[in-house]
Amino acid sequence: MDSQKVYDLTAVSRRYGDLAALDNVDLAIRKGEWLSIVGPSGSGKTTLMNILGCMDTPTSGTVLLDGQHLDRQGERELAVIRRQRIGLIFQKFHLIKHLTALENVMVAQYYHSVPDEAEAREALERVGMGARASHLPREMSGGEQQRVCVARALINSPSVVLADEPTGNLDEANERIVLDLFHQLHDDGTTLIVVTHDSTVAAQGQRQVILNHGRIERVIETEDYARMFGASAAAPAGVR
Amino acid sequence: MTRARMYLRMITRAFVRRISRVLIASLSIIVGATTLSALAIITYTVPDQIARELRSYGANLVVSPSSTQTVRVDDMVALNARLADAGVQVLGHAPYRQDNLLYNQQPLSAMGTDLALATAMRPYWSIDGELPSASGEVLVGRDLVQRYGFEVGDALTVVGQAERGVDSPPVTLTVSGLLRTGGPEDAMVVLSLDDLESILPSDGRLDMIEYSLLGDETALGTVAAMIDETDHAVHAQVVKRITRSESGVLLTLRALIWIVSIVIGALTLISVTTTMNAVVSERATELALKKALGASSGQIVGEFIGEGVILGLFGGLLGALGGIAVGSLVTREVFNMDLHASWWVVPVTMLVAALVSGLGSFVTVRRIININPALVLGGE
Repeated sequence: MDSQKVYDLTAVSRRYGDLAALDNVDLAIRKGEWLSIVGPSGSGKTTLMNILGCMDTPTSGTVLLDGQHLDRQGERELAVIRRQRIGLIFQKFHLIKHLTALENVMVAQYYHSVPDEAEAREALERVGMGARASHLPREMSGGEQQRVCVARALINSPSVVLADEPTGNLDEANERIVLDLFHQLHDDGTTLIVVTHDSTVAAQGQRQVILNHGRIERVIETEDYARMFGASAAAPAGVR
Repeated sequence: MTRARMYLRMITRAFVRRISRVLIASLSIIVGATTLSALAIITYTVPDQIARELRSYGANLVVSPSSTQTVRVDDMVALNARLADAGVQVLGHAPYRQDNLLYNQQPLSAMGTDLALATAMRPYWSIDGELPSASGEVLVGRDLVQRYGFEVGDALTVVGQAERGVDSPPVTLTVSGLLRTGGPEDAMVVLSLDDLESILPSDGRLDMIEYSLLGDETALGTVAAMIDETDHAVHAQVVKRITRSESGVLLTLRALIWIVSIVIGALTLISVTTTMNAVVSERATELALKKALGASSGQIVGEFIGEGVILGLFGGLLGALGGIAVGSLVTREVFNMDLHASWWVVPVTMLVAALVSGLGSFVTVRRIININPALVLGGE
């Protein structure tokens, strides 16, 4: 396997009865890449996100994460992979309501290894939420909650950060703040996969995978992507 | 920070910062714990007190001389000391001597006793008039009153039937009270041992010593055997008619309380399980998030049971305090008794409530395991 690849999906399908949520998808995601997964409702982007996030397994096909087969793992093993290699960011934030911002970050540490309060504070400082460490989610705005989610996703230094509609519940100002954070993460070398239906957010990525009816309809590569990873062999830079 | 500290921090925060939800969730535990602790207090206090009350039905152990022996008042004092040394709880005792006197040349049964002790042992005696308080005063049984027409203040002259047909000198006694017992005393005159001794000297002979002891039939049998073994001059006998009916009453009462307790315990467990299932539904997103963050089902179940145990301790504490209040009210208003100190109920109720709550949480394990983070967090 190419050492640059974080994910390597080959002929991945996910069926729910007769319905194919994903249909024969091939996709390689490279280390340090910012990939946007785009598509209308029902296109299969959430299913793809769940498979990449080890919260679901394909009906057929192979999924490799850092060379390890995800499609052959049981629930327990997938939980271990999630805690060790993946950082998750959700549209609805999903912070634990009765825990402070700091404690929410420490929960991710707790399941990963050993909680470290100082490290958790640093992560909050990094997303500009140091002053809100002792606040409960209900005492924070949507943008602030999402920044805490980013800190939680990063705290265990994951191989990849998956964000599902990360700006879907935010106003324009907070969307800008979160996207700035994503740019910082990307600049720091974090592999970033963002599922979105927002073209502005999608355009931030180096590459856009456009899904429709469970299939990859189109891949748009930016010049930045071509410069970093080289243009895809199958198509010229820009559109494939 | 250690993992154990973080675990405690998470479950205590879930408790403290969700206090209004916790109060609702713990309501069934509080109600169950209140009822169970109140029943425990009543089970502990009331039968004990009822056992003491039942002692008013009369003696449950009778000591009499062995066939060829004589028992005297001094022997009774020694026996009392031995019982005290053996730790036997003696609620009452009374010595008795029975003899025949002559009244108007007619035989008259007389019972000599310590009147204060005898009336304490036999609170069911009904006396019209006064208990003899001075020498020469007697109680006259109802049958004699009907036969001879005695009234309080009347004098009756009796003689003792001494050996070989020689009567003792006549003695005049004064009726201080008319006695109704529903028993053999209704056909007797009852007087003090000293007065009977003055009519018929016997050097302090007794025919029987009655005891009222605290204990069931087995315990009383043990005491009787001990008396028989240590003093061959006497024979102790358990009054089985009394002890068995007492044991029956107490056994029925205890069984009733136990059955009610078990039913309430089962209902509480069902209620707690239902509540915990509702809590799992209410907190499905949080549980799914923890799974998404990499928590194993075992870790989440461990946290949930931990929260359940804290919930149980909290509900148990409130329930135990409520139980003491209810138990106190019931023992005072229904059984007309004072509640003994029962603070042991608090830790015991808390432990039982924690166990029930932990068990109720454990039942939700399957639902926790089946939570699919992809579905729940995706809002489906």
